Amino acid sequence: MAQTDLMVSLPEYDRQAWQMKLWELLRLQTERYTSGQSTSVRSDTAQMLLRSICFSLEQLHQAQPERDLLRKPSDIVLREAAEVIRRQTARTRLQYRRACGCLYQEESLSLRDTLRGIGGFFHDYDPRFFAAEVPCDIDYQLAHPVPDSLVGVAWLRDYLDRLLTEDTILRRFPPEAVRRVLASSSPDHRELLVNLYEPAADAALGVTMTEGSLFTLDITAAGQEALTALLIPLTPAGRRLALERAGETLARRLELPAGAAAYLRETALALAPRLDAVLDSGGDWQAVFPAFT
Amino acid sequence: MEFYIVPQPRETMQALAETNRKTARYGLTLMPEQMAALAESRTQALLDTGRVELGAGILPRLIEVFCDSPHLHQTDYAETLEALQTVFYRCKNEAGDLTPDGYLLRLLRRAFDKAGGSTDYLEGLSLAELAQWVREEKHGTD
Repeated sequence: MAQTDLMVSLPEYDRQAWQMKLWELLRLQTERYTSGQSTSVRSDTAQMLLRSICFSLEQLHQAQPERDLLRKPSDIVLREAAEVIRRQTARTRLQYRRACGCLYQEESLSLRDTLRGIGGFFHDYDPRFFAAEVPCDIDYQLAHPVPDSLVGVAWLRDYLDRLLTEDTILRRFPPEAVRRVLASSSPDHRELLVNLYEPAADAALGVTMTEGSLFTLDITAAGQEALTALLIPLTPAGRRLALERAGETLARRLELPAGAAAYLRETALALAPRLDAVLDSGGDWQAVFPAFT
Repeated sequence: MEFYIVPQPRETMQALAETNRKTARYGLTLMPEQMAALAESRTQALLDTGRVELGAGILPRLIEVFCDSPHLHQTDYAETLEALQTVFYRCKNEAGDLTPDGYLLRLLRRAFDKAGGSTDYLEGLSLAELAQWVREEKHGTD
């Protein structure tokens, strides 16, 4: 039978009671979905209805203890859950409006298409029956994707949060420098599914490690040599520590809010395998930390 | 998320037992072992058609719609119900979840009577063919 996060920590008795409750909720929801005119639905429809119920319960649980939800009549639980999802959707719509102001949209067809497509989400999203679905196409790739554990409007909210975080960091750099780095990383970035933030953030981290200029995002050829000299003697753990410190230093220099600083630290640590690959193969840094002078 | 919904035979059997009260006047009754077999065949039919059904299922309503058909006989009552149940779930997949059960049941009843009680014939037709065939009778073009 279905699991939902709030069941995992319950003692066995309550877990069985929750199984029965979910069954009753699914029965009621299926009846409502078909307006009482159908005794059966397709299995995939039932799956989506149950996923929606579980997601909605988890959102409702943030304000109400499990035992209260268990005791409450099912029709009231469903009504309150749908209302919570509607409120979250309204807040996410505000976030979306902010995201529509993201910079560098002209640099990415997939970003423009994705932002346009998300507008359709608010028209097609069904908080009552299919709250766990995301009825829109999301092509633009984030540097650090939304966890698979999130669904429905929670997924979209996290996606927009991350997109706005990337935009916040990108706004700290001169636009000409960002565009030069993008052109260097992928000449076809406007048409391809390329994340705009990552090349600029990577360049900034490289510049930070070699104490170069964030104004140009140019590590320079001399800086690339200095980086090799800095990192070659280090163990893999030492390189990760160097990256982590670079992330912290850069976040401080850019005066980033806590969330953006954490995101940048994640970007820094994600560089570790690429650093190892360059150093182990004796290759050059141009694809990771481009030099323009 | 993976989950499996197993129909509850007891609820189905209780509902089938209640139908006997209505169908007895047409000379149609189900024995307990036949009810159990129908409940089992319901589970299989749902699995075969990829459908989920909570509650007693379509059988009680199906019996209600078909019980006064002149082509239902006690000798093959249970087998006929089993076949009609399978045809119903298949048609339901074709029609979509939001098509009322009542509409499909009435359509199947008309087709069943027109076919002289042959479920074999109904099993060979798609929903669209069934609907067309019934329309031909309704408009006297058959």
